[in-house]
Amino acid sequence: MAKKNDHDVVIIGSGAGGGMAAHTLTKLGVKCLMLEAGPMIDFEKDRTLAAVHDLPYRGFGRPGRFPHVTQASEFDANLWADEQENPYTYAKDEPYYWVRIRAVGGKTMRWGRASWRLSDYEFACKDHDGFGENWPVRLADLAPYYDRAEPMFSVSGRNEGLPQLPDGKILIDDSNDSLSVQRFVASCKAMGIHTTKPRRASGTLAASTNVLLPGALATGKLTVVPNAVVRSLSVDANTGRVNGVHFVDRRSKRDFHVKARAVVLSASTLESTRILLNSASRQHPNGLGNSSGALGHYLFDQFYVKGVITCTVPEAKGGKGPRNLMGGGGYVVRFRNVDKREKNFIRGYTYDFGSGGTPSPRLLPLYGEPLMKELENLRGTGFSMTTMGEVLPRFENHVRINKDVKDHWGIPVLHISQKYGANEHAMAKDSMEQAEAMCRGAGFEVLAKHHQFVPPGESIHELGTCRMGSDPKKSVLNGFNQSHDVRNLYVVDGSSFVSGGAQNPTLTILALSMRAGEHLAEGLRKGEL
Amino acid sequence: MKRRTIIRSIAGLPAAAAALPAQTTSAPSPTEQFPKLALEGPDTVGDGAVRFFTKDQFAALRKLCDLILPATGGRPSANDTGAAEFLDFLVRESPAPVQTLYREGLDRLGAGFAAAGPAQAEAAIAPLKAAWTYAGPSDPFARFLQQAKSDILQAAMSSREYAEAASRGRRGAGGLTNYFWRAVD
Repeated sequence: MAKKNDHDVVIIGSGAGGGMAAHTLTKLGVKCLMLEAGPMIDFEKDRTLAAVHDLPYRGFGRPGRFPHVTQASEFDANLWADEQENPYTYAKDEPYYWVRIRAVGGKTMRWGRASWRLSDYEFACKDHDGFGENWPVRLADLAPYYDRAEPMFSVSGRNEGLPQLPDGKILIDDSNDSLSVQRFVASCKAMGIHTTKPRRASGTLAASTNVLLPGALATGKLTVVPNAVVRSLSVDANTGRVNGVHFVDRRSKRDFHVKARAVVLSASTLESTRILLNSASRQHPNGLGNSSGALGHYLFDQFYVKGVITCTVPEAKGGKGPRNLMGGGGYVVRFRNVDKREKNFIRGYTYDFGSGGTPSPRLLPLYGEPLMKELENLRGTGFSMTTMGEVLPRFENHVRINKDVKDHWGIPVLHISQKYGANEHAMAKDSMEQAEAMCRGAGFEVLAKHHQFVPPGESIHELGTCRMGSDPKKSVLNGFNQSHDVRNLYVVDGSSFVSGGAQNPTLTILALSMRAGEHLAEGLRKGEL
Repeated sequence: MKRRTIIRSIAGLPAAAAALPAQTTSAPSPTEQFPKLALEGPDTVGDGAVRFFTKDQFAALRKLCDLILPATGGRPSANDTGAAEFLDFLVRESPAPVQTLYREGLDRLGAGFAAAGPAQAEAAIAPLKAAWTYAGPSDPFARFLQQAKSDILQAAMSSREYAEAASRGRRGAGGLTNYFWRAVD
């Protein structure tokens, strides 16, 4: 049994950032206490195979339960954070879709496992186009950590030797592409555009709970406490440093406090910033570690144009194509603003593409028997693409505490304000036009196309609001994810990002957290904290 | 109370249990067994009641179901799967804008729609033949028709009747099966 206050570091959150921090710190001999707001999910007891017709709502889900979580199905609805217990606010004309999981493992319980490295096009973004700020680190600083994180998660894919998509220490996927994918790849190549295999962590579940936490627990130096909803961090009145964490038991609402020599905050991008803003004190009147005024600002994510194009492969209609015609998928590597500058926008975008599947009935202007016949004719002929685009971090896109609304535990909630701008709109439109050119070049028939992105937040890649930087006047954290103002406070999730590119952020969160963990352990060893 | 009796009480054992020979206690009595019982869902034994739509609205919805998904290729029609009754329930549970969309859309189809001939019925739902756009139609009636088409297809194709028909046509069970995650306190 754990002893009270028998730990050096309190880690808040158990997802990618918290899990890697625990893994790193405990291996270096640091005693950690992990507080997780949600319960432990038991894969044996908490799930069962079910047919959709046995569900109460035939797969529709309970109406109105998740107005902002389009990813939730009736099968997995109980995994997502309850929106009534965990409210947030936004202006009527600025909908924000905040998608959360509160459970041990966090969002790694449900992530898509795409694992790309950021490049110096992101780390040194300002050097390329003059917008925003550079990161205080470069690829060379993070590469050793990417090198170690990728094998832990058994990342597979293909290295292409491209500066905008750095190679990794990955399992090489040299599987054959289907004929339709080969045609698409050839079409892209003719346009001077690179494609590659998906690069993702292997296995059906590559989560903090099975990759990171078991090893950390095996050291005997980690204590995990589920159902611990953090209210705020406590600060030493003399030094201004963090000295503990106030939390409330999720089920009983009973309040607790634990001491800490140092705190690693990894509650997810917006939750971490919310905790810091709710931790304002005499020494830190605008939120903990916010002397820069940057805390809460520069919110961004990656815009998604889901199904930017849906095509059919004509030769596959009626089930007539050869067996290896359809199937598989891949990734179109960023090609805008790499070698030459675009007139209408800065930065770039990528696509996921997939071959196979049947186009949705909603795309067909038919009903009744003609619809069913056409669906049969198009069975397995689909080819679709989704755009993932870089969003510019702007000061005006921000979060703040809304003191008028409190969550189930009486903690003030966030008010979120994010809008996409002209750069994102121009990029989305360009992505639709380029996707059409790629698909037509492959001989596919275009069934539907559009360039409307999903609302901010829906990509579940929310980033920024507690950004790193070399200048303490413009940033909250230094190059080791350590607070400029509060030396024994680290923030190791997506809130620390300065820019995001179009690559899925989890692998970078893992690398940053590992690096920060080593820095923190060294600081503790030297007695600097 | 003697010490032995106290210990048995704390352990939750009947006082007599400890006195029984080991041979007797090794075979569990029926009261200690918890076999899985064969159970059925409500829709296997009962028809869904109609509680939300008016008689005319529901008649129009059933007609719409017939038009959107008639029985084809050994598969049941939307009405064979109880899609209209299910949508009465689903819309009743839905937020107000969805309820309004359905009620006004069905009212627009009108009381005569249920008895309309093929040409008249087709004309009434002509907006369904418009090309797809991401934003969807701006006209509320056209929007209702698109929503109803999508809902009727999903309600029917996710039904027990549809799954059974699919499993008869092919090997293995029909219909979507996945892991259902229970609520965790």
